[in-house]
Amino acid sequence: MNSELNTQKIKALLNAATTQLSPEILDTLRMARTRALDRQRIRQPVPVLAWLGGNHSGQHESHHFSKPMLWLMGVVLAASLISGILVYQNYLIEHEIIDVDIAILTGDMPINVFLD
Amino acid sequence: MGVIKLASRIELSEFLASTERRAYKQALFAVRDEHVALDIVQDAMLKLAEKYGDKPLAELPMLFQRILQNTIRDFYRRQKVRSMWTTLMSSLIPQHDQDDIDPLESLQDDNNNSQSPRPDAALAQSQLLVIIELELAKLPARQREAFLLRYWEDMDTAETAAVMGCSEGSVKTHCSRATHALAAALRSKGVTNHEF
Repeated sequence: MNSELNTQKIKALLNAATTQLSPEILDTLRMARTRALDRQRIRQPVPVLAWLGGNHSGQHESHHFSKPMLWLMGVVLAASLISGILVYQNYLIEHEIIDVDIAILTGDMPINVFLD
Repeated sequence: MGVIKLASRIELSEFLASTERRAYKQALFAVRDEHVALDIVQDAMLKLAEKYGDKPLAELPMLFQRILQNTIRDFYRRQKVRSMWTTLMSSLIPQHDQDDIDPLESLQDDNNNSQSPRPDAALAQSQLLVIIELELAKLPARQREAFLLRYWEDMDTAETAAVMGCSEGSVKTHCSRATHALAAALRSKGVTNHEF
């Protein structure tokens, strides 16, 4: 039965039918295409720190923070952590020196000063 | 290793331009309403561009067909819910019965001189097209979908199955039933094989 149906001929007829669409329908289809293209998702590299200059031209900004901003926040956090550790170590060394100075002045040297 | 080329704006535009008319006709066969068909094609285009606009060009035909068929199915579901409520509320909106349309009414009457003269071949083609479009619209949705994807969109059985979300065996069954039904319908309208 299938051989009785010339699918190539049907395809040709259906293709011919698409050339007979009214101008209104063709216009609507063209507008729909343009609208769709305006929303095309494009994978493009985003320059680091671009957000600092107020450049928010990205098409999809559904997230609160952009990727470069998250990177920058991470770097700032790490820098704060490292500087905090350094300041704390400095504070400990200063206190140790003051303790030793007081001990020398009072003649009350701890035993560990003589153990080396 | 081959480089996968992603679709540019121009390529996506060309793809949509090449497929939009067929997509519209497919939607029209399915929903039988020009405005709804246009809405469906527009939705499908938007979804393709928004979600898959950066996919390789070669993947776009299947993705678009899948989106289009899903959008048509969404329309069916909404229509089903709406008709349920319409029945419940005893709506007075008149429904157009497509079965009332007789394709033979469009056939040329040789004894009728009021019809404008047209080339016979073109007339025969347009008459045949009317019959085929009506018979396609009468097919069950899945059969029509399989038939159009296989024989109009030139997809193979595997691709059609992927778009329809079913097995290849189901695609073959749908296509076979569709071609049987169409052939029988054309025969019943007096369209013989040699006219193709």
